[in-house]
Amino acid sequence: MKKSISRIEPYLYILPAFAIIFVFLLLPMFYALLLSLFRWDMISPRQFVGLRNYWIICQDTDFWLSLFNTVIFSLGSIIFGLGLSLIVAVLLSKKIRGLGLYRTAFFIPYVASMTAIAIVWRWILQPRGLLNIILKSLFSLFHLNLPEIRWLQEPGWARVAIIIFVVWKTMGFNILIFLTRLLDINPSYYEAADIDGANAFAKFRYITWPLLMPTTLFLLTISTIFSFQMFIPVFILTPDGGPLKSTTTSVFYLYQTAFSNNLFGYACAIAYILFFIILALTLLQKKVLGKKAAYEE
Amino acid sequence: MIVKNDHKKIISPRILIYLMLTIGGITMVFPFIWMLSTSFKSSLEVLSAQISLIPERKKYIQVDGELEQVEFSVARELQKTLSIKEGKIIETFSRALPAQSRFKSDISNKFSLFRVRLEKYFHRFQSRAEISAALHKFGEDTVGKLPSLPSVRELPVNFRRQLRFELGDLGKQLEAVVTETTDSKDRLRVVILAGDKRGEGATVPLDEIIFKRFLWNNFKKAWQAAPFARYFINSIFISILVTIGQVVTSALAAYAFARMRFRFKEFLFLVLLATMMIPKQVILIPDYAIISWLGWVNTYYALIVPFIAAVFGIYFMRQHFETLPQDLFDAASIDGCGSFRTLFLIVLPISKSVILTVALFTFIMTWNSLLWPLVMTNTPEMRPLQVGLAVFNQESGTDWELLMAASTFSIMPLMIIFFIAQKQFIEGITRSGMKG
Repeated sequence: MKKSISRIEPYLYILPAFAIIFVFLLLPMFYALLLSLFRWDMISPRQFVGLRNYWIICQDTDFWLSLFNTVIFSLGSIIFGLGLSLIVAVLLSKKIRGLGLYRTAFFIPYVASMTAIAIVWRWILQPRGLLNIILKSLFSLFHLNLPEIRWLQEPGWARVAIIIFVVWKTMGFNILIFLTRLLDINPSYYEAADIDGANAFAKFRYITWPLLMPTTLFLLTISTIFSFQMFIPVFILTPDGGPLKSTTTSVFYLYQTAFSNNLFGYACAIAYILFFIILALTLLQKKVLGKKAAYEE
Repeated sequence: MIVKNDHKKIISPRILIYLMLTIGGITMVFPFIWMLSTSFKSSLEVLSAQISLIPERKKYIQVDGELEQVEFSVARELQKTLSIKEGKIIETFSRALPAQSRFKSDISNKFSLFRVRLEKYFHRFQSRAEISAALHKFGEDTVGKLPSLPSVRELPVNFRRQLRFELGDLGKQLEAVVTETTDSKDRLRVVILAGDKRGEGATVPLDEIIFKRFLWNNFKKAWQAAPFARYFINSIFISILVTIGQVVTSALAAYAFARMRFRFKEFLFLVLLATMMIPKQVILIPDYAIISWLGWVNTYYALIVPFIAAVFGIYFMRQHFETLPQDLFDAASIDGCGSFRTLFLIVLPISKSVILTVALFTFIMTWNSLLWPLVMTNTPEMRPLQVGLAVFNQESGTDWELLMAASTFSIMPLMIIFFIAQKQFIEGITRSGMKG
């Protein structure tokens, strides 16, 4: 009797977690695949359409536009986000005074809830908002006249605005991860380089950069996944998907398709395509950059 | 010699580093300061093109129990009252103007006198008596002395503009006094524009003018503009239950994976890890279908139950449980402790910091999530804070001072938690690599 209990005991321990994960994570994953083969508005009965949803996606210019927007946002926020974060992290690692204060300052945007702080940025990005006032006064220092930028009303600027916001919001996280790694690097490497007479750039290029590679790869992967799932900034800054749908990301399009247009089957097909894109990107990054990331201390 | 050189080299980049970091740091923090500053301003000051971090001292009157800013005001002489109407012209003095010839210079003179008086007195007006005195003087000195001459000429448009411009440089005290002609007669009208946003006129005694710098009232207004109390209660309730649930299920599962032997252990753990690859949005729609099939749409169940287990917690705790020394478990076993009691009486008490990290992150992620509750709720009573805020954002379009006030009190709870548990927080992020 006791023995049989102890045999099933471990399963009882993992049961609660597995039950939830099965019902709300694993099962839906397959359910989504099934649903993507149907036309369904949640009210009238499902209609089997085979792969037609996927065929329609191929011709759906709105979907491709949303994917294009997502790629633009990802590239923009990753290039600028990681680049700036690396610079700040390197500066912070230079044994400066008041490190805690600076670190907190850079980290605070990351702590603030996305929804609330995105509303603040919607205010900052108004035609007569803070950003334009600051830019205008900066330009007037050089006697240049800057026309009012309509950040959230013009397609090009709206994309830039979203990237600025996302970079600002997520930089703290990247800096923190970079910084932790930078402070971990054994100082004897730099001492050895000093003896060899290496300059600051050479030290960065041949010591810091390769040793940071695994961290960079990690951040790259996580940022890619994050920006492919981006929803809140768009939903708050441009609730209608932006001028000419210029800020409609894939997830936003998915949300609209399902919950505004009631095309649930079609939305599931979109979700699956997105899933494969993210998966492919993650694997690709691992493969391409994984080799370079082989450095270990 | 070499040492000295080195020293010089180091100093100047140091300053550059501090400069760059300081500029960067200010950029990061400034939106918060701006948010706070805006939430204390009046709806009129919000629209001004100056960056004023500390709100200006402004004049207010009470209209229907609410403070309304009176930015531009001249009292009506006879009634000694203020007329308030935004964008609409209210006459104060209406006097016929002299004949065409000397008229322009005359009026200009009168106005400059008027302006001097106002500049001198207006910003210091604290009572009816003071304003009355100033106006009386103005009346005596200028327009009051002009003869009443009916005429059929209209003022030229550019003259009006000129006066407007001239008076405009009074700036804060008196920006919108303009002249206007009516009834096809040359009459001077001193015109008031004031800050009743709804454009309704109101007449109040002058000694009811209130001087204020910080509008604390904005917070109250924002709080009442939407059921924020309910939103907060919902968010707290949901986040706490999810956190407790997730810590318990994660601890149980992690303990089994770390310390027990059973069939398919490796396989099951791999399955768990694989589910980490599933993006949230892929399962959003099937989950919605499941939840509506369960009849849970717009209930707390929909917002709590799916989240009381997560792979992140299990993974994170398992890593920790594996590092605990085996002796501990042997001792517990010898003392006759079952594994359940070992977990709760021995393992959990010594794993406080890990549990706290998992709890902290679960709480924050639940508190911050938007898309899921947005989809799963459809009435204000069920909305958590983030959804409520997003709806408020769409509904109150450009009431920036209210939006900023709402953002401020929505951001505060997590900020406070962050400053209390900063160490835990930063450690947790660097160890787990969470990205909101």
